[in-house]
Amino acid sequence: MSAVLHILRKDLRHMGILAALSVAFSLVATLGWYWDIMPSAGGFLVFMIGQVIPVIIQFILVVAIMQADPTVGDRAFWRTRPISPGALLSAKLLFLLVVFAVPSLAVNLYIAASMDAPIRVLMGMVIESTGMLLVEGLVAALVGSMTQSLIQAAAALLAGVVAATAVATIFPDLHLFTPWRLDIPGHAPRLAAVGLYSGAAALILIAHQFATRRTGRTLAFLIVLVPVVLFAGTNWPVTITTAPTQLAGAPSKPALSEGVQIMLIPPAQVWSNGLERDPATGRILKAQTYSINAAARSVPEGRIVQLDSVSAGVVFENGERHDFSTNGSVFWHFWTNLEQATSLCRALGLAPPALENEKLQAHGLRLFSIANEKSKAFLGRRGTLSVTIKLEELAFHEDVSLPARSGASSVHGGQKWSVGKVSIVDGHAVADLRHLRLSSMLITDGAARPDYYWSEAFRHGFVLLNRKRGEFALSADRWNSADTPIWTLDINMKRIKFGDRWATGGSMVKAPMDDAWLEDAELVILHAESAGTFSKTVTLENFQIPQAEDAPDSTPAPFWQ
Amino acid sequence: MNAIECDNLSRSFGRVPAVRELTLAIPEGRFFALLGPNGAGKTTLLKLLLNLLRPTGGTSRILGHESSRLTASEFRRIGYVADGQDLPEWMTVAQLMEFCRPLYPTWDGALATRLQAMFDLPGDRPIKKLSRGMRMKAALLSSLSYRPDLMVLDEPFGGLDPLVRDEFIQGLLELPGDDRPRTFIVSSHDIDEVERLADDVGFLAGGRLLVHESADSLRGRFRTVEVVGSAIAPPAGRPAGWLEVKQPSGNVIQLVHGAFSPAAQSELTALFPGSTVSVHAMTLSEIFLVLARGHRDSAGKEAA
Amino acid sequence: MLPFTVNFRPGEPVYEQVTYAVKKAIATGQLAAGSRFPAVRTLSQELRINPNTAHKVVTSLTAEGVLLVHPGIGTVVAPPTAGSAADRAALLNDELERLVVEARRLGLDEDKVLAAVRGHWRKLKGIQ
Repeated sequence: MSAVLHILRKDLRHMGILAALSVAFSLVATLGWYWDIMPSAGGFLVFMIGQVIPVIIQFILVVAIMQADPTVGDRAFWRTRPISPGALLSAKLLFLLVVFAVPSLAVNLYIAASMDAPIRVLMGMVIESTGMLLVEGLVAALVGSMTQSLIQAAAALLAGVVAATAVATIFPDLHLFTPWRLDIPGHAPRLAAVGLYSGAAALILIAHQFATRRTGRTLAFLIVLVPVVLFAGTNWPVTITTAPTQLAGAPSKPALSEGVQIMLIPPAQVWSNGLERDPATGRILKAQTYSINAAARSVPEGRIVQLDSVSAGVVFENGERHDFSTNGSVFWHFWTNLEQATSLCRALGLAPPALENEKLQAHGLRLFSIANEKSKAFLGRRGTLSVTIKLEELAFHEDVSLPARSGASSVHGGQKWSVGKVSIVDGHAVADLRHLRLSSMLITDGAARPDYYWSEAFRHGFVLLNRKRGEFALSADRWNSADTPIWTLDINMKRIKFGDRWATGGSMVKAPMDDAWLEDAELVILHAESAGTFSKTVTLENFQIPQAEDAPDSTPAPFWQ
Repeated sequence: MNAIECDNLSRSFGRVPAVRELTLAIPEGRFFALLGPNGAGKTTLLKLLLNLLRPTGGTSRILGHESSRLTASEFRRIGYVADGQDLPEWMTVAQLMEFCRPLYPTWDGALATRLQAMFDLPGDRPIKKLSRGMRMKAALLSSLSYRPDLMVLDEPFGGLDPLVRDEFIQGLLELPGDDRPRTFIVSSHDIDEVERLADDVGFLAGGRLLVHESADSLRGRFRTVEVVGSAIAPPAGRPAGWLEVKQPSGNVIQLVHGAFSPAAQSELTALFPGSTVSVHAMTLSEIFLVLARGHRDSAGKEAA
Repeated sequence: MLPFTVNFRPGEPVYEQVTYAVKKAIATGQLAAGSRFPAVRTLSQELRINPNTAHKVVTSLTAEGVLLVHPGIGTVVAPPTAGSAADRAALLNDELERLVVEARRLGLDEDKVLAAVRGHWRKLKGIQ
């Protein structure tokens, strides 16, 4: 044991400054953002400090420390000294633990404890941080020289980035990440970092081994690394869109909202500033985009239905049938739909507002686009429109309730919501929120689910509730920042703009929001889980494709209120 | 006990054999000079002994332990200084000594201080800033200070100026002085330096051990002979022990005798009556040259 | 510093050369009888010879009676051996024989040998 400590002391003296720098960075990066004393999340600076620099320092330090007393070659100083290989390896691993694992673990455990994270998440974090280190360290131990490694690492990384950019440009449908933008909206950014890093490391090692012609060892590396890379690759944002995985212990899924009614409200609208990709040639063409208002009714309690995709087809008067391509990129925030306020209110224990039938909230449903070149064949024609709408049902529940004032915060299960500025703009309330979430690639349920990143915007609903006055306001607009991953901590900033005041059980209150109202208000955050998808087909007889608008700069039809 | 034992030890690098079926025993307490031309396999042999390389055949034992099973405790009794060895470049000499000291129970601080003064090594300069000679002295210092039973030095004198070489040897000679037998193995081209020191000599060429003898015995049997007389010629059949026979002119024959003895002396006198036969001793350096040339020529003949 | 010098020549065993140098130093008076003889270690370091060899030198000189080991004091140079001139002459017998054989081999005659002996005698005496 004393030999181990003796070597550890030597290594600390050798690399003391770099080690201290590494500890400082990981503390500053994580705690700085957790305590919200860094500039607002998002942006290149955040990414550099939070992710890239510590990774670089860690790589340099791990390689340097392992290769200071290499186990390969016949020139190492320790080989003819009374130092056993076991003691040496233990000392190196101890160094890695002390310099990397322990500080980051201490910080993360502190954050996790103050965020009331479940034990599983803590275990996941422990395994992640130590596991990564051990792999790095052992790999560095097998590589001969540091300078070569660094040069090859840089070269391999550069080559990989260039190659990936080229591939992403040539084959955009592959949905490969765009290498220069590394805040990947997809699966866990941590996985992304791991994947990128181990991919680069694998390349370095293989290149190095080939350069030094140690074919046996190269093969050994390949055998070990190929499954690792494959695993990282398949769990990585190569497929950005996946169906969200079901929660273990998710609320039971009753029959889907087949009873939901979707109504199409003619006339159709047209928007001239659309773009369409020609499937035949792949060219992007100017197009007319046609939409129609639609409304949903009879959404069951505790449920929200959300648009997934729309596919429309028209059978013209002369029997000609035309099917348009499925439109998958729809953004229809049902949280804002007053139709669903009924469902929301009931879930919150409030009397739903009395909605007049004629005041059905309708939303623009984007049907299809026709390229300008081809639109002449379609303009003004009549037929029967049939729209197949694929809907996703979300089962929501009240997650958190906070006082709607600056500084309020709530912690549970590894998540923390804190309220920033609350203000009134044009008679409507605007609230800034900060959402912290512990993520771990090993824990795939609960607060730390990796797939929360996709369609995260739809997973949370926000309601301003003033029980004293019996009024509420739904979110009308929202802004999300990209998730800023600082190792195990994900930070998301939101700005919610709330809509009109509604009286529970009554109708809209035609007065603007004011500070007095906000005094007694609580911010209710709802959280939704997917309950599955279903389709509805609606037909509209006597549908006419409208003429194009003459005004060249017509404003786009509002798609959501 | 033998300090070193090799039994049919072999090592090849790819298809190139560096050490071939080498069998050798070096008793402890001796100063053994390992000589041979470049590429003869000296460095490879020493690395095999210390488990820095694995043999492709055969076994070796060092201080009674199998090379492949050397543990930390055996290395407490072995010192190793080699030209291409890594040293912790960032450490100063003082830090290096401070690092090594706790590893050896037999560390002699007084000896270390004395040697450091004798070597004139600055304690506070990092090793990477030391000259080559100082580097070697630092390496030697960190190996002598714990009084190893076996000192292995691989080409220690390369590139050292005569003053440093002398200090080096002085340092080596600081070691013995108590009851424990101390064995030295030094591989070198620079034979003159070890000429006086060597008890035994081993000559390695082409990975094989050609000669293993005491220095005295080697020096005893090698002589250069010059015969000056009128119209002399070497005898038809080459007498035993005659090497490198040359006849620069009709009156002079020069040869190297590898098996000199009083009987050989008489034989020479008898062969060339009336001529002057002058016999001179040879340095190890000169003997080594003869052996090297002989090996090269016979290797050439084998190839042809 | 050693109280005697050795001029090393190639080809002869080191131990023999050192032994001869010691005896010569005693004969010339450089090494006085009763004076302290350097330790093995000092011998080894000053002459840059193997300690084994130095040890062999001291051992053989002690066995021959040239050096004496006094417990507590160390090794000292022995006084010239007592004994009859005949005994002492007998000690030199082998050397003398070798000298004569060698001289005859080289073709020197008796007078030349004797002259050479006288020359060396005077030279050594002169040093003393």
